[in-house]
Formats: sequence, structure tokens, C-alpha cells
Amino acid sequence: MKGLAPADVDSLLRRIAQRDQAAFRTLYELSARRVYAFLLHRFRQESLVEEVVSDTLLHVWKNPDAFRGDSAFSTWLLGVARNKMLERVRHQNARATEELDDADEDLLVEDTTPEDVAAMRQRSEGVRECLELLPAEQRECIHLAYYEGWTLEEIGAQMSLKKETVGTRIFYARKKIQACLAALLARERGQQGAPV
Amino acid sequence: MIPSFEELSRRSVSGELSAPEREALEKYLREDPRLRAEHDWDEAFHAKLDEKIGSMPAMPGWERTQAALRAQAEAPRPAGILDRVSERLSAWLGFPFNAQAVAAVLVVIQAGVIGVYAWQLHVTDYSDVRGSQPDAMGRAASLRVSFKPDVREADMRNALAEIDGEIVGGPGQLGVYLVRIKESNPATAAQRLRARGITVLVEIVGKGR
Repeated sequence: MKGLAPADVDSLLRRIAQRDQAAFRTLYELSARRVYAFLLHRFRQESLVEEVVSDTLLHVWKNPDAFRGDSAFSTWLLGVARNKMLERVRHQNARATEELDDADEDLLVEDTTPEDVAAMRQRSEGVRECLELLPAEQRECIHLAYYEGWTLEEIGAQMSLKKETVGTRIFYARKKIQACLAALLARERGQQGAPV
Repeated sequence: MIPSFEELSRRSVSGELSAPEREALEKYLREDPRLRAEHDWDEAFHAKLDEKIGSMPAMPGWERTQAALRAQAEAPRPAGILDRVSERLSAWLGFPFNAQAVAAVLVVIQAGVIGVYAWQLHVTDYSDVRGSQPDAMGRAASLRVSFKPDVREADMRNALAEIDGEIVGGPGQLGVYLVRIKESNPATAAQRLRARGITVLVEIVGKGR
């Protein structure tokens, strides 16, 4: 899901450089939701996220030449958004990054079963809840890998991590979601089967 | 080097695999049923993420952005290049030389340069220029199309690919695109586009209307 074609990006940025507001609106329509989804998965601070989406796209409006085409436009844009959000979070004296020790993860490493697949398909609300329980940096890896389709190298470059570390984080995040969904389903079944 | 199964599986569900990578993934899946279950989970997870993100606002922060743009437009404009050139000329010549005068001088110089080039190239046959535009527009019909605000770019592309359409203009202030189609029957193309349920307006223009 890399988004806009390079030719479309070039054309829109050229028009934006000429202060074409219709082009800016088109770019906003095509990009803002993805930036929003990324930031919300990563930082969860809904009130800030909308402001940072706006700041990120305004950065493009003010500096249409800042994108040099060294990566896909969406990759660059999410990088701008991430930095702006981190600046805001630091400004609020919040903890900007979470140090994770993947070795501390206490999870049974089991194969994915057909029950896990069925649980994933059935439980939309549960998936959301389980994602919320992940540490921020695992959610970020999961979002970039599964929704944006980035490679481990690309995610590593964005987050200043080794690709192996990214792989480990995704692996544990996936297992945590499976365990969380299985627990949710077991709780539901227990409640359904309990005598009234 | 072929990436690991895990990476291929994840990138497959977000539509990022090349043909050789897709083949490699198929091979993994054929050979190991456990990997098939992993891949099915990845697909289901991606579908849930897609569903969740699809329900998010289409233009988050747009009102704030518009307010910032309005504030920027109302702020004093920094001197443009013409203003700066006219200031220098005024200082150099010793009498006022405004930006419009500078622009007029530049237009005259530009016209002169183009004239010299045309003369040098002995351009006497304009048949290519005359022929290309009417030919392209004469044979193909066009549609005026406006998409719903929450439509994904991928859906727009798929819809245009289905009718063999190409955006040749727009969007205008109201978000209307001009789409040229190669389809012999523009009514069919318009019908197909409407059937996708992602448009607000589909109107045939030009030949075939």
C-alpha cells in the first residue's frame, strides 16, 4: 500500500509550488487518513493526532520542494508526521519513546492455528482492543508492516532499529494479539456457558 | 535474495509483491500447511486493519488546515521576485520602475527569443501540432467524474483501469476530474463507473454524448 504514483506526486507538488489550493486539497484527501491512522496506532493521543496531521500536510504546502524523491512519498510523509508528533510529545514532557526489552516477553511460541485465524476473522472489536494493549513501538511496527506494506529494512530505517529487532517486535506483537484474542474468546465462551 | 516467508506473507496482504516474490510465497504455502495458517492469519489481520482505518475520518484536521491557509493568505506577502527586480532597476535607473513594467519587459524579451528560435529552426510545417490534439480528442469520448470524499486512491485507480480511462484534467474547485476513455461506448463506461458506488458525478462529454 505505497499510495500515490510518483508521477502523480510530482504533478501535485509542482502545482502546490504554484500555490494551487485544489492540488493541495487533492493531496490532503489522498494522504491525510493514512497519516492519521499511522499516528493514532503509534501514539493513541487522539486530540494531538489531528493537529499533527494538519501540521504535516501544511509542511508540504509550505515546502513542496522538501520531498526529493529518495523514497516513496508516503514513506517520507509518515517520517515527517512521526518527527512532528515526537516533537509535540517531547514538548509535553511525555515519554517520547518506550524502551522495550523483547527478551522479557513471556509468551508461548506456538504455531498459528485455524482457531486463531477464525478468532481474527470474527472479532473486529477484539482486534482493536488487543492492538491497544501492545507497546507503542510494537504497534508502530505492526502498522507499517501490515498496513503500509513496508519491508523490515524500511521500518528499521524509519525507527533507527536493526531489521532483526523489527522482525522480533513484529513476531511478538503478532503472538500477543493471538493470545489476547484467544483469551477474549475463551472469556466469552465461559460467560455464555455459565449457569444463570 | 528471496525474503523470508514472514516478510513475503505480510507484504503480500498489502499488495506489495513482485511476480517472483509471489511465486516464492506460493511455493512456501504449497509445501507447509502451518505456513498456510500463518498466511491466512496475516490476511485476516490486514482485512481488520483495513476495516478499522476505512472507518476513520476522510480528511482529519482539514478545518484547522484551512484556517491556517486563510491566516497565511491574510498575512503580509513577502516581496516577489518581480518586486525585488523592480526595486533594483529603480535604484539603478534613478526613476520608478514598477513590477508590471518589469513583467512587460520580460514578456517582450521572451517573445523575441521564441521568434529567433522559430526562425533558426525554419519551422514551416505545423502539421504534427495541428494533427495530434484533434485526433486524440476527436476519437475518444470523455467523462466528467467526481469521486466521493472518502474513496481510496486504489479504488479510484481500479475503477479507471476497468474503463481504460485516463485523467486528463482536474480536479476543479468542486473536485471534478476530466477522464478520457478509449471505450467505444462511453455510456457503458459511465454505467460501469457508477455501478462501483464510489462516484458523486459521472457525466459524458464530447463525442458520444
